[in-house]
Amino acid sequence: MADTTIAAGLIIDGNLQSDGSVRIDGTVAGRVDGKGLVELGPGSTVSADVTGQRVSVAGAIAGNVEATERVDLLAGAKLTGNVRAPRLTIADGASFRGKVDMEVEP
Amino acid sequence: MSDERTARMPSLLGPTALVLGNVTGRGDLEIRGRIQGNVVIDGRVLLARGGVVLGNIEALQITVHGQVRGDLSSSDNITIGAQGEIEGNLQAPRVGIEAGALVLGQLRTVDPHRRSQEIAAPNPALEKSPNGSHSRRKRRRHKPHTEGGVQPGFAEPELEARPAPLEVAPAPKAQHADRPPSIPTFVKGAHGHRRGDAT
Repeated sequence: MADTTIAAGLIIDGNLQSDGSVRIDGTVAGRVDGKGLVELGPGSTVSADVTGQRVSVAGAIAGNVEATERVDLLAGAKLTGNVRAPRLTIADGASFRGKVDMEVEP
Repeated sequence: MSDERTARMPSLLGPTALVLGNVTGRGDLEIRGRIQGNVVIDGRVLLARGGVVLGNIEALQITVHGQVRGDLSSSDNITIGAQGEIEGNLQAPRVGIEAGALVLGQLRTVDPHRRSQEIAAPNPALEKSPNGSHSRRKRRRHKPHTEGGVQPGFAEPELEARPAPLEVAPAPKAQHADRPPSIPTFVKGAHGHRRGDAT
């Protein structure tokens, strides 16, 4: 169970930040800034940047994604934005439009 | 996690979570972190101990064990736990406040629009009174009930007109020499000398 869970149907009209893990199945009309695992579920929508240690995307993001460890775009993901992370996977069925930068200084 | 399971899960803001903005939508919400913004949802809100909301909360049911600076409005009930602290108004058909809670604000268990209409409606009982000031006095004595809400159609009971105040002659002005004998006087003139003075 994530520290913070935004279930489907809930809308955050602003930014969300957390030191713990985050799971989003709802809508965030703003940034999501985590310090651990950030999971964006299949029905989720985020309309600004997402940062975390590990970011897993299965929903829609209109913003950049930045992770200190890895980014995984799962099937069903729709990312329009850039990715900055040392490791990246893009699953078959993921949709991605943006730049990738994997030369992240530790 | 399957979609179905996640859709029925309540939302949870962990202890380190911070939301800068409003939270709206469907479903229940448990707040252990901090929200700087309003919460308007059609589910239940549980503000756990340590949680903070700087903004109004409007929900089906609200339970407060944390801190709120803002108004609470619910269509069912509001419960403030013993650890709860709220600076703001509460409005709900039922409100429960546990001993120890800190509450600073107005409390309405009745729809405010309906109540003000009842107060404003002219009351025939008051208009029978011959003296205008008496009716004002009567109105002040009828403080509305604050618990349980007002029954619809509640009419203030008729009071007998108060008798005119008795005419009391003003007390005669006390003469300066008429000092009550019990009070000792240490004024020099009364005894001719002060105690301790060598005669």
